Amino acid sequence: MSAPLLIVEDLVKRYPNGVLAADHVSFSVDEGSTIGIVGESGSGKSTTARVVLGLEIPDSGSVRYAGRELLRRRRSSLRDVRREVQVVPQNPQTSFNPRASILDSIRFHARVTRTRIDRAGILEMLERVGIGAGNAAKYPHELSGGQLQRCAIARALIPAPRLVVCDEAVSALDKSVQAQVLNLLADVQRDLGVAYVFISHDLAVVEHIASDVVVMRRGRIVESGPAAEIWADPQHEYTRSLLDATPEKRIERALAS
Amino acid sequence: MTARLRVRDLSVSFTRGERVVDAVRGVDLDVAAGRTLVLLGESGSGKSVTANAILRLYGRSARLGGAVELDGRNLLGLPASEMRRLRGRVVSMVPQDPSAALDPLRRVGDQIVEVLGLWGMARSRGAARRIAAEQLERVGIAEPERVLRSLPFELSGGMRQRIAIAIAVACEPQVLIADEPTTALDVTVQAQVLDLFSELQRANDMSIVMVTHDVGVARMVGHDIAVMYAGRIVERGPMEQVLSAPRHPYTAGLLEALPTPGVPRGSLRAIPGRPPGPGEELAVDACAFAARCRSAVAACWTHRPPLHTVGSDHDAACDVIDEPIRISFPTLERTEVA
Repeated sequence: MSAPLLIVEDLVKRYPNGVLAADHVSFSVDEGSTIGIVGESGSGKSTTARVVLGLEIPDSGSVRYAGRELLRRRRSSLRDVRREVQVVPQNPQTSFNPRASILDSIRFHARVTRTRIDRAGILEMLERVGIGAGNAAKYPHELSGGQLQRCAIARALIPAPRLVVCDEAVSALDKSVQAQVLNLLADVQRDLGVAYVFISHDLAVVEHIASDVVVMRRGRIVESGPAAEIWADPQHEYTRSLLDATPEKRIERALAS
Repeated sequence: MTARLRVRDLSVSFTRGERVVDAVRGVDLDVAAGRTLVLLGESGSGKSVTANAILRLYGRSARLGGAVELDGRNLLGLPASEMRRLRGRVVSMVPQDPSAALDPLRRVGDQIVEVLGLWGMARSRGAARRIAAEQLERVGIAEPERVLRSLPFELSGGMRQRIAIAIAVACEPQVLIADEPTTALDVTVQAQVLDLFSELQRANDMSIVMVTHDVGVARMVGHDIAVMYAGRIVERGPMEQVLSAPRHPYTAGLLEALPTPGVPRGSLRAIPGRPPGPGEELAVDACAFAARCRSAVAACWTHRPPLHTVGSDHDAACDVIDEPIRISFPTLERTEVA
């Protein structure tokens, strides 16, 4: 078996206000697989994502991507890595320049990631995620949340990444649209072999999309393992309470009794 | 069931420049004492506008039609001053985002005391302070004195929502409107806050109208449900009946779209397209859901089906489906781990 694509080891990050956002966090992601990071607000899941994306410098620990250490390196030496690790953020409305068309925004993204792609290539990628050429020329406010999130996925895929961090990427969408976007993410993974770090507070979504799950609380991993096992038989008390609190589980329990 | 709150043919439209936006296009609702009605819908369905219109929270830019009857009195016909007296006291509201509803620069205690003063609930400041502390205890806040002295930012989201609820129920209203009251909260806190609604309801025999997009939340708190789409109710009835045997393709589609254990990755049964926004032109003589509907036939494009009775207290607005739609709702099954 080949080495994991991403290995996060012993990550520690304390913010100036004293909050320990990452307390010895370790996990790994295999090529083409999905790991879900679940937790409530303040659990450290977003901090962890930001460290992986190079947006946050941890106090200690190690992030190895494709065998290369990413921490304590000059930024310029990591340029090629940075384009291989992309992000789909939570709120597409704020992640697109309101004064640029979708096409222009994506073109800009291609330029900063030093991706050689022409207009036809971008349109093809947009088509791939279900956005027709007619919508490519539109501005963010002219598109729905679901359409914009598809554009954000296209933008993330333009530099041909091997890892995409999805930070609450479907949380803001209507449920009928959320299912479309989750299906799209699964299709993209099957066709292009990208790996996902999928951050969410929604356990049902994570259980669906991820093969493995990391449960975080107050900066610590309290439980990790295969998604289906954690859903069916959580070992840690906190995971249990998190699951019990989800409407789905509560209803399940109410009907069983 | 005798309804305490009866909404009849409610319509709400807004004028935006030259355009008229129809957000609610004829909604009927009945809520009895001690019952919770959930308005379930996606963005743009008109669920929040319906809730706000019950309280007449819109200014001159909105045109309200139909009737909102509380114990037989039409709230839409009342003078503004009379409506002000009812608001908060007889019909009250819990906001979606308590952080926006509380003044960030004033201590929680002062804000509650001000509200109690407005409603004439207390003779003196000292008395108001005592009532405020009692109200906070009632919503499960363990150290009411400390919280009264706090500024909103010093408190967690769950705590702030409890405070907003405490303010909303301080006068023991007959009807409580709650618009996505737990959307901003973590799941463990959400469960506590939803339980709190049920407790307060039992204590007061309050009628609750809860707006949510979350089927799970709906099932936890609602006795009855009204599913909204494009400004209209497409299905309504007793919660379990509607969700276990839906009669409208949209209700069924919404349930099937939920990621649930047992559905293979990438195989969620999504509803194609997207819900129409309130500003979108809809054909007068067509079912608004037809474009996304698996069951649509030609007639759906030429005739808009009205709500008709499909079971006891159960109505649906579909002429094609004439029996309960069988859906697998896998949340009810446990997945076996190999």
